Amino acid sequence: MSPAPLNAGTQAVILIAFLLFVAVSLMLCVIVGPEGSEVADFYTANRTLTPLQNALALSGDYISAATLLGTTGIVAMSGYDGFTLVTSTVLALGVLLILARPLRNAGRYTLGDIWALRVDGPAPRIAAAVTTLAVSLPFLVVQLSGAGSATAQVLGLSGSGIEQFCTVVIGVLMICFTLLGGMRGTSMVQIVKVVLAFGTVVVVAVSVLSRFDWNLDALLGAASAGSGQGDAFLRPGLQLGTSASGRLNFIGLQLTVVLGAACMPHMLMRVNAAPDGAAARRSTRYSIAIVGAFCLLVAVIGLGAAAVVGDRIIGAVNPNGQGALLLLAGALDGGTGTAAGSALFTAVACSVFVTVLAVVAGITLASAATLAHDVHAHAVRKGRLTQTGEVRAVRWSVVAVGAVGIVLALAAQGSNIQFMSSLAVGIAASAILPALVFSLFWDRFNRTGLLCGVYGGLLSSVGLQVFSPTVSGAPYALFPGADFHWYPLQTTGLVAVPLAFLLGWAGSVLGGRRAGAEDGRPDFEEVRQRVLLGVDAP
Amino acid sequence: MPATHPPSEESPYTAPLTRLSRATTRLSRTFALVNAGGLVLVVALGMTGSALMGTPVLGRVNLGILLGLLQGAVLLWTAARYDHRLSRSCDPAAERIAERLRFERRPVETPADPFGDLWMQQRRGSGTGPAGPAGYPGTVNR
Repeated sequence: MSPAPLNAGTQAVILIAFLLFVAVSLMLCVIVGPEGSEVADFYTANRTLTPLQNALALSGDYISAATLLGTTGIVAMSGYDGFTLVTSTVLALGVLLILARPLRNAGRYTLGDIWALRVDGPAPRIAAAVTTLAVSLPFLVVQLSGAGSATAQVLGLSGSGIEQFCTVVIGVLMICFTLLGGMRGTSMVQIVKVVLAFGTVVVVAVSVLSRFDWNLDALLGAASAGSGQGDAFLRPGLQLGTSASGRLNFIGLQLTVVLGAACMPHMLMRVNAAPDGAAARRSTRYSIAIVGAFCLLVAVIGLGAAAVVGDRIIGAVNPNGQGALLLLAGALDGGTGTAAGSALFTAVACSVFVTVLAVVAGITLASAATLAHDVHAHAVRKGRLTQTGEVRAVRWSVVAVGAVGIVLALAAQGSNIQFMSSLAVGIAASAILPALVFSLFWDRFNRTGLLCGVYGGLLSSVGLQVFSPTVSGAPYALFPGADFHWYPLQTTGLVAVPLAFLLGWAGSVLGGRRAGAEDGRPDFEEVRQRVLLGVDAP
Repeated sequence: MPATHPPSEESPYTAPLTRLSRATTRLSRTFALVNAGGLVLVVALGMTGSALMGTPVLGRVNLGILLGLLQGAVLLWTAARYDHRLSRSCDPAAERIAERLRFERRPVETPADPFGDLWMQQRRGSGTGPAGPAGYPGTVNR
């Protein structure tokens, strides 16, 4: 359904370019992949990346298909509200900046390692594994099925069979990447992806601006016209409405994104891959600049898509606007009939593929790491697993998580699962962030507080999302026919995050009073030494 | 797993750690408040009715767009400042305390055991028959 139908020649070129790219990336992974069976190597590339390399990889982990396709689409469809979402996306990294050094000082590989500092036993490990999987699986499913439909769009084909096939292919590729490369291989792919995606986005943005003679005014005017909304396009309120609940929705969305987007497990794992706390903080600071520039270009591209292609066509491909980037790439530079146009379209298509591939690898690695490190090595084997054994467990977990992701993505074909992105971010904001902040900075945090806060946040965000209009009761819902919603907002952050903080605090206070001072938790002084100084950090 | 001792055991590191913690918290709080405040301001202004944010300032570029760009610039600047300040003042202080801690905790060398070699020789020498039940060092099998 692109405006210019692709001929067989262009399809072949795109396919060949993509396959070549995949082959090169696989080779890269094998070459730089972990040598043997060292756990540190597999999880953190033995911390050998420079701050700039780590910053690029961090930006790569952060810029998922949700940013590249989703945010572009929202800017194209909703103008000003898209801009606010872009700003919130960048602001979320500010939260990570504050947490970066303490996190790196305190942690080893996974979220469970940090929580295990404050609470003994298998409970923090299991909580970490459950939370990591709860965040990663929905996110994974969204990326995979997005890749499936983007592939079909690129090839000009349609039909659920094609999309399912593409989903399976990308899923299998992702498993191979992660298996072969570990953290080091996926870091290299992330860096390549950031450079490629950034370059492509620059070219598209420059193309858009030069089409309007570098006149921002003209671009804004054309975008407003193309959106069909006129002046309302550049004013707040288009995405979610200007009623009271629409405004609450808007606030909730920004809050959820700012607090949760950077606290996802694969981001935390990437922060742990820095050589020390100060380098982690530096990498995060550089990545704010990289992601900021990227998002600015995304905004320009969104405007360009509305101006050149028009919201009517964009909305026809996907009501969320996800087709915007590819439609724009197909329409610029004379369209795919010309050499320049085909080259641009191919480059954009490759960027989209690599973006999804790289982020999915990062998510899979984080999920596999938590299964192998937290569940198997610590909760089950009580820390008595050898390094070789743990690396083997990670490899099997990668296969398991990848398989589950592919199956779920296939099952979700045809349904509107966009809400799963905000579900994942919402869980990160409520189950992970409060517990993380308390673990790193609060002396009275204890086992009761951790369990109440984490599981409370998890249950409230998942529960509220299930009973929200994104799952039932609205035309864009997962089950448009049914209606069992009573929570009026689309995102859960507004309620779940304060609730999780409250539960974490109350649980600690009440639990501490009951158990008395001697409840076996480590002295906070030692925790402080670790968090502030990095002493005892490997 | 860190050892557990009775809480409220004051160590010589408590005071410098508290100072470090307070300094870091102060800088983090400023950074967080400035940026959070900006976000709250922009969102609140947007809620008051789209007329204000829609006021065109530079041609079609309206107040809302300009404020958004300003937010981004403020984030970049405050992030750089935050990182710079921490690496100039808090990181060296942390490193100094950490050095002292590591020095204090370095593995103490055990003095060489003057009779160790003799004991090993005796054990080896006594093995004329099959090894008996694990015995007292130097037991000779009869």
